[in-house]
This record gives sequence, structure tokens and C-alpha cells, in this order.
Amino acid sequence: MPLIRNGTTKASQTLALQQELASELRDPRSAGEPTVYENRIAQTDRFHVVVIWDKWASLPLQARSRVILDTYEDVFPEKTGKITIAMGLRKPEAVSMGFLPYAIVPVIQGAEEPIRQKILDAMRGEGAWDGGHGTELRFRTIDEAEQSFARLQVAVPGPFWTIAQELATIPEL
Amino acid sequence: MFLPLHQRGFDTIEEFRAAAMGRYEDARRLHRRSRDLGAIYLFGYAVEMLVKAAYFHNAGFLRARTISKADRKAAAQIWSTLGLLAEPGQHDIAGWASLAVAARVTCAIEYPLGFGNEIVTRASSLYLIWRETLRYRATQPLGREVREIRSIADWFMLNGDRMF
Repeated sequence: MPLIRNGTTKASQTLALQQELASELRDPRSAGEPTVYENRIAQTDRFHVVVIWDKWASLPLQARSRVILDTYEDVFPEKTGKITIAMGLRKPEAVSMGFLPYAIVPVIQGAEEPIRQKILDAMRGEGAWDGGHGTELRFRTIDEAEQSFARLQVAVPGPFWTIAQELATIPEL
Repeated sequence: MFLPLHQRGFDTIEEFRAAAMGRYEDARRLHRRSRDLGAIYLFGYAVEMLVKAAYFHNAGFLRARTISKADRKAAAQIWSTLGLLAEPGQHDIAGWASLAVAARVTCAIEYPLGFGNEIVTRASSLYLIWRETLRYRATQPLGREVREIRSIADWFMLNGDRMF
């Protein structure tokens, strides 16, 4: 007979995500997840917040949004009621919505196995994930990509790294 | 003599809203006959037209004013001014919903607290499943995908008036 343990309840899961997000907002780290993009619109003093985090997986978008709003209310009460858009996305979802157009693409053809492994480990250390198109490492801005590129060059020196930009489809407007 | 079908009518807020209702009804009929991929395709277009109409309304267009290609291009290009993270593509329902909600903040009468965010999260949920390229596919959608798209489209049709 299989062993079935009680799963974590949605409420406690939500609370755990809220606590982790709050700690990131209070004391942001230089790398790792969650990644919080907070855009203030100066003219209206409103905010758009997008949180990219793979731990969102078990929650639908609306529940993620609630977690972000509740956490902001707790950490930044002065922003309560000023957040127009609060969106939580996993990395593949953020890519699919065009939020992470810059990619670091490893050039590993011809590289020997120990080097290949080192390259993949270094990418995962920078936040890469295994998606449908292999190991993907994505960024929102060219600056973020270049900073990561520099760290990867230190971790695995050599002609292994390139930065690519995904171009939007040509609009037929 | 009639103009060719594709040249008849105008792109206006009124026309977009009427077309949204029309495609929604078409989608429901397809859904009832288990033509699920076609239904999803049209449910998505119905929501797309509604959020685009809402954007132009919130940007100050009159209901009967013709929306030109240049207007659509200009709308997509103000994405960073309105605080979006990425420029919306032509059929980017999530992006156009974000534009609509962000533009509303500049209007005299704002959406009720939380309503704009709900528009964006629902449109984004739809856009994680839907793309206009579905028209080229012969794949069979999962039951939960059909149910989710249907319920999102239902919500938009039910709440459409509140967006204007």
C-alpha cells in the first residue's frame, strides 16, 4: 500500500509564501528568487508589481496576486491601495509573456563532459531552469544579463557564453 | 454594390464590443458541440476585443471614433510610460489588459479597488493558455483548459460593462 501523508494545506502554503516574500522585500538579496519588479508610475503615484518565482506553481494567478497584495500591505503599508497590478509568474510563464527577453545561451557543442556539466551547474547557480528547450537562463534587462554573464565568465572561463535577445514578432498593426 | 466583406464596418470601440459579444456567442455554440479548440480560439478573441476596446475607452477615444492602425501602434508604444514591463504584441491579451487598467488610472473615474488587478490576472490566466496561432493547430485541448478559458470569457462578458 502506498504511504500517503497529509499534504500542506493551501492556507499554510500561502502563509509560507507570504513570509518568504516579506523577508525578500525587507532584505532583498542580490540573486536568487523571488525576483520582484516594482514599477512606480510617477504621474499617478501607483505601482505595478511583478514577482517572478517558481514557488508559485501550486497557486492560480489570482491567489498569487492576493499573496503579493497582502504581503505589500504588511511590509509597505504606505503603498496599500496604490498597487494597480500585482502579478505572480513562474519563470516559464514570464518568458511566455515576454517579460524576460534576454537569454544567456551556452555554447557547449564540442565541449567535453566535465566542462558541459560545469557550465550547466554554473547556469543553475544563476537561476537557470530546465524547460522544454533545455536549460534556460533569462533576464528582463540587458544589464541583468551582463552582470550574470560576468559571473559566469569567472565561474567557467572560456568562449562558452553568449547573450541573446528574443525579438518580439513583427507586429501587423 | 457591396464592398468586399473585409472592408465593411469600422474599427471602433462600439464595433469591438459588438464583435466581442458575437465571437463569444459563436464560441459558446462551438463549446456546446464539443468543438473545443475552435471554442477556445473564439473565447480568446472575444476577450481580446473587449480589453482593447476598454483600453481605447480609457485612453479617451469616443465610442464611434475610428481606431486606426497608427492608434493601435501608438497604444502599444506607451507601455513603459504606463509602467508595463514589456511592450504588448498585437494579440497579447494580458498586455492589452494591463494597458487598459494602467490607462484607467489617469481617468477621472477609476476602477473600484482591485477590479483592475482582477482584469489583468484573469486576462493573464487566459493568455498563458491562448495564442492566436491556435488557428493553425489540430491539437485537442484538455478539459481543464477549456473550462478555464470558458470561465474567464464568461467573467469578462459578465463584467464587460464595468470596464467602460
